[in-house]
Amino acid sequence: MKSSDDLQLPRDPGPVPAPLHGAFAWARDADRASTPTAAPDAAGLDLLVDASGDEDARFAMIEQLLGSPDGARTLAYIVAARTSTAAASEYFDGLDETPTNTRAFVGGATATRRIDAFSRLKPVLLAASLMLVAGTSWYVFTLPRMGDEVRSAGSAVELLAVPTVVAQSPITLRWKALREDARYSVEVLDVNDVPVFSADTNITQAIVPAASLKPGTYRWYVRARASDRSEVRSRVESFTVR
Amino acid sequence: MATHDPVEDLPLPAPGPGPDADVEAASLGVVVRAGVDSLGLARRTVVKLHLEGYRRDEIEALLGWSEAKTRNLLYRGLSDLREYLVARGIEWGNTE
Repeated sequence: MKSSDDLQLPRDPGPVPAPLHGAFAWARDADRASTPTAAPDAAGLDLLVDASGDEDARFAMIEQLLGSPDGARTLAYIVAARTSTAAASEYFDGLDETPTNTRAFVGGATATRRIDAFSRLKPVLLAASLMLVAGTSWYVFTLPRMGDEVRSAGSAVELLAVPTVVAQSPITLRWKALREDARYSVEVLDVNDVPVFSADTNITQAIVPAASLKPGTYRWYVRARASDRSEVRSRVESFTVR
Repeated sequence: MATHDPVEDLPLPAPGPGPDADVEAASLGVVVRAGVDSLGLARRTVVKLHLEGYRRDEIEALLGWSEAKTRNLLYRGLSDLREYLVARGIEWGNTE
């Protein structure tokens, strides 16, 4: 038998402290830059809005959407469509067509009408998402003067390979130029994520002195900042000093 | 004529909240991400949405849940995350 404690709601643990929010955002952005998730197809989005469907699959779809910038924007559109209840609800209630989609979308008497209306809105939302993506791509790829490497590397800094195992000597880290006004910050972290080297430069390489490197495994990445204060990161690569 | 490698002459970033802060966020980010990933699927999803900045009523609407269920899973997820981080020496910052 359950005790009364099992039935009580847990106490509010309080707001997440700002540094933890920032750290989470850093990890999320790094993941999105290094291993963005694929865009879900229409069936996947249908799965998400089907409140009567498999809940685990819906959770997985939400995580997939949160795993890429485009997916996160799509999710934001979906949430906005679901929570604009005041004026939208009045409008949806005025629809006199018989709803064809009977899946529960949000609770209440207007649920089926809302999802019917959402089905109508979905193409508009998807089109808006595509326009946003296209506009962002145009801004990123067309406005700045950028080299061909950038086009092949997407919007992230592309690191050039370092041998995975190297001798204990100065190591040259290189990456591809992003745009002419970019400045680059390179950072090397040891296995405990303690920084052992960092440099800020406007060229596309940096030499890590041997004195900074003891035998062990290191991770490194590069951030690029442009004069318009836009910033992108590379994926994280690693090498081992023997 | 003496030559020098311009890369080796690059100044290291000044100490302060710049790169150091980023590295700190990166280190903490690894732990926070591991903490979030250690949560069960439902709690993890709600906590991720919360950390993304979604309000509780938005999470309710997205998942089609009651207010109580959403609050329950969010509080339990955040409590689990807090416990995970505190066990690793990271202060939550609002200990009662």
